Amino acid sequence: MNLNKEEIQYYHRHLILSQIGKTGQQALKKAKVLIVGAGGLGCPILMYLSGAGVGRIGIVDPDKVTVSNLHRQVLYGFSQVGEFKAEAAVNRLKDLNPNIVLEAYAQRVSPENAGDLISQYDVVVDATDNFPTRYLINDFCVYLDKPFVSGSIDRFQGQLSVLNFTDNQGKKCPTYRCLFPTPPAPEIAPDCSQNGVIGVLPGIIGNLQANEVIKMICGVGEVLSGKVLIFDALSNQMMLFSIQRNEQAVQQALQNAPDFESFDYESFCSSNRQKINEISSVDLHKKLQNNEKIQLIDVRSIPEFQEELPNAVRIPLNNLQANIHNISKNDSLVVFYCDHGINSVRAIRMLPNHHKLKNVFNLTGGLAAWLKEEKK
Amino acid sequence: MQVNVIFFGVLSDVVGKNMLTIQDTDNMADLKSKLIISYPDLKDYTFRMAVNQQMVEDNHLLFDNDLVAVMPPFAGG
Repeated sequence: MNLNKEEIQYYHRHLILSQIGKTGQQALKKAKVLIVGAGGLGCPILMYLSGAGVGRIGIVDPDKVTVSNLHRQVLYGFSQVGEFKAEAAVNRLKDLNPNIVLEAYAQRVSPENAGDLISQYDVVVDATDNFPTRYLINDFCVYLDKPFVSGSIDRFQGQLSVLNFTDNQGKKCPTYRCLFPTPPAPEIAPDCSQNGVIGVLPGIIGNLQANEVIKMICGVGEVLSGKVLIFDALSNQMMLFSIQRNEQAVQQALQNAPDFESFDYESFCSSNRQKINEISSVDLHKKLQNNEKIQLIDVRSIPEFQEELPNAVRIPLNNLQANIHNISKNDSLVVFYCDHGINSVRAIRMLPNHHKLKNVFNLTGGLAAWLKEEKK
Repeated sequence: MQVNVIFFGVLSDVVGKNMLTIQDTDNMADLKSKLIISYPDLKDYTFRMAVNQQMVEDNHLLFDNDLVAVMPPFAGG
């Protein structure tokens, strides 16, 4: 795969590196990388892998750009708010590097489409924000024998590892399930929209992920396989932990193959917890219109959305214990909500047993889902 | 004998600090149960434990001044 005149100029600083050079640059041009998630981690990964000249880049993300994304998702600007991230990314990256092929998939990666998507690429980058998708990517990569670079963040700390990599001796390296065989319940592992994140953190971790992709493709340096790296932005500490491949955990991934479509990753990631009643925005809206007696509890501390539901009682999650007496036992229905429906689940789990009544519900997807429904 | 334990992510909130010292423990299973007795909420969490930067299982033996790290998977992206 030869480089044309324009490419030789574009990649000049790579070409003069002895570790990359013409051979490495040609390998990058030949490479096909799928990036799942075009959010905080995805933005720097996409920018630097495009700049590095990865020949074909696929971008999977079902979301649209919102204002609260911009502080860390610096690939986008105000003029892209409301556009699909996958499409907005392609438009920006085409300008950054016209020498590469970019493919936008404005859809959620699912058991139905993951096989088709992943099989078209050599390397996968997990830049998602939830566990069902992390396990799904792992299982498909194990099944299809693709290495993937996993990154994740929590407020001031990040985790990074190259998983399911086959080393140059042909040895199979650890997978995500070898690191974490069992998924946590969603409400105890909330994402950035519930917990917050310092904007530069995904920039740092995403760039480390892009670096691993480049090293893997060019065959330089030591790939972060068989190890997990933890970075702490507050102390500047970076710690490496070695992990072993666990064949039993790998088999768990393969157990779902080839009939992946019937495996429900959402319930797999919440199966070890007591079930919480959920109510959809549509159903809640109907009930409110029928004047049913409903107590609405808003558990947000610093709301992302200014809107609130009519007559809601505001009890921030951190004050819940002290304000339990404000939760009615007489209303036919008590509905907890927050911005995205995750902290409200945490609140319901914090209720003492005598409050765990059949009539306590969580507003699925929170105000975000409610406001989306209202717009329709 | 004692070991130092560091906590990552949400677990440092559950425990209320980033690091603590646990006395009189000689294996991971025992350390884990001591931690859960002191911080009962920990049992709701998924985490892996490493000793001296190597991920280990419950049957791993501990020695004086070992550094134990307790890490949950992170969700965010």
